[in-house]
Amino acid sequence: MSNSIEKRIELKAPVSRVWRALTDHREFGEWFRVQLDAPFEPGQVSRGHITYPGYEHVRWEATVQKMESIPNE
Amino acid sequence: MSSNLPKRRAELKVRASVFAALGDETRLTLIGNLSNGRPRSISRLAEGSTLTRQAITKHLRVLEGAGIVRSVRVGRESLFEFRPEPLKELGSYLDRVSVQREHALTRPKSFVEN
Repeated sequence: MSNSIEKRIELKAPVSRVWRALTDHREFGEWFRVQLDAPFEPGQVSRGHITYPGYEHVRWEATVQKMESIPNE
Repeated sequence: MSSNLPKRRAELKVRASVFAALGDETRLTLIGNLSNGRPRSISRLAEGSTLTRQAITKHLRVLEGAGIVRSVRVGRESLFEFRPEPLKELGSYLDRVSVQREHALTRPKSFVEN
């Protein structure tokens, strides 16, 4: 049984804009609702805490594996 | 927010026990038989099943422990009756989880499209 959830959406925005929203730790934090201590770095652990209302006590810790874009299917 | 953690833990414990009670084909069948609301005896519920009365009773007790059914004594017999509340709570919980996942996509969308 898989432990991942996959969703697809269409975004009306340039690839560069989307890339920034995903990889810039401050922009990511804004929409994901997490305050991150430092920029994302492949191979490094990213730490911070959730800023989603009601969950501000929840710590965030994730290892960045890679940051890459995959060409259109 | 500092939610009431003991209360949340108690809720999680109850919810997990309901999920566990549902996680069995015999028990799902029993729920199907009882969910039209009419109380039924163990004999009636065991009808047409390859399982013994004893086995059916064991499963009914698990459902009773999770609050999904309750037993009512009528004379010498125990009848079992469906209680909708635990499954309604599970339904709300599953709806909340899937709505949260939906919101998780509308936020990046509105963020980049602003």
